[in-house]
Amino acid sequence: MTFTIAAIGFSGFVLFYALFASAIIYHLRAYVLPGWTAGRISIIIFLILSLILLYLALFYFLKTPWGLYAGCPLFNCVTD
Amino acid sequence: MLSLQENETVVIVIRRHWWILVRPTIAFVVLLILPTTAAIGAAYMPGLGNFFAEPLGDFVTVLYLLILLLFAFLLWTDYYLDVWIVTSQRIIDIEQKSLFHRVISEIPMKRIQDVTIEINGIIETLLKFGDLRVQTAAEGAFTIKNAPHPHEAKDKILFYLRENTENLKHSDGAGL
Repeated sequence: MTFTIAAIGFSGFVLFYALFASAIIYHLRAYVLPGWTAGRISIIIFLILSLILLYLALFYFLKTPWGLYAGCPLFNCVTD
Repeated sequence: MLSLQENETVVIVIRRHWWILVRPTIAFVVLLILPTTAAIGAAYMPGLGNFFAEPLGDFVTVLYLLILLLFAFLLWTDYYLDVWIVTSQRIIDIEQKSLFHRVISEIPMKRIQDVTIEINGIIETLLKFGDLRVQTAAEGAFTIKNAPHPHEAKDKILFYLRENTENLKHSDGAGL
């Protein structure tokens, strides 16, 4: 149950992130003049960092023992 | 995005001075090192246990970094797309108020009445940036805050203003 709730929350977060990231990329692609290279470079940096962090988030999400957090206060369930 | 008319060239693109980004950058760095500080602090707090050493702690930290990255790029987009494009015939003021709020105004050179610069403060004087205000006949005043090298920008605007006025006089004379 805890895993399902966490998965829904994480999916919502990824959806929210993808929406805003798309908006940023759209703006940096649509509203720049041909000579403005910094805008294009920043899109690449943003995409690379986002993908790395999203991969790490998914990795730690799957690694987290969600079942152990059911019915106990946060921070005090898993120790050592 | 921007279509130039015949015989129109982009003279200068003015963005706010980089000094404007210093304060948000410091805030960003502080927020970036916050999880590390929190992890060190949590190790000494019995209530928190070893939260930051667990996968859940890492997961929360990565989500925090993603939000931080998003805000940093939102700020950068706002800074980068907020420009004044001075062409040989007009000034295009693109104001990126937020991600989904964009205001574009155009000022034809022939309507410009006065160009004023205001450099106020030690940092502004040393780093050579200030407010550049263009007064027009009909639309009122347009201001770009914290423009770098405002003297040069003013000179360029006045040069093309004079050129446009002279061209207008010649075309009027030819028409008579």
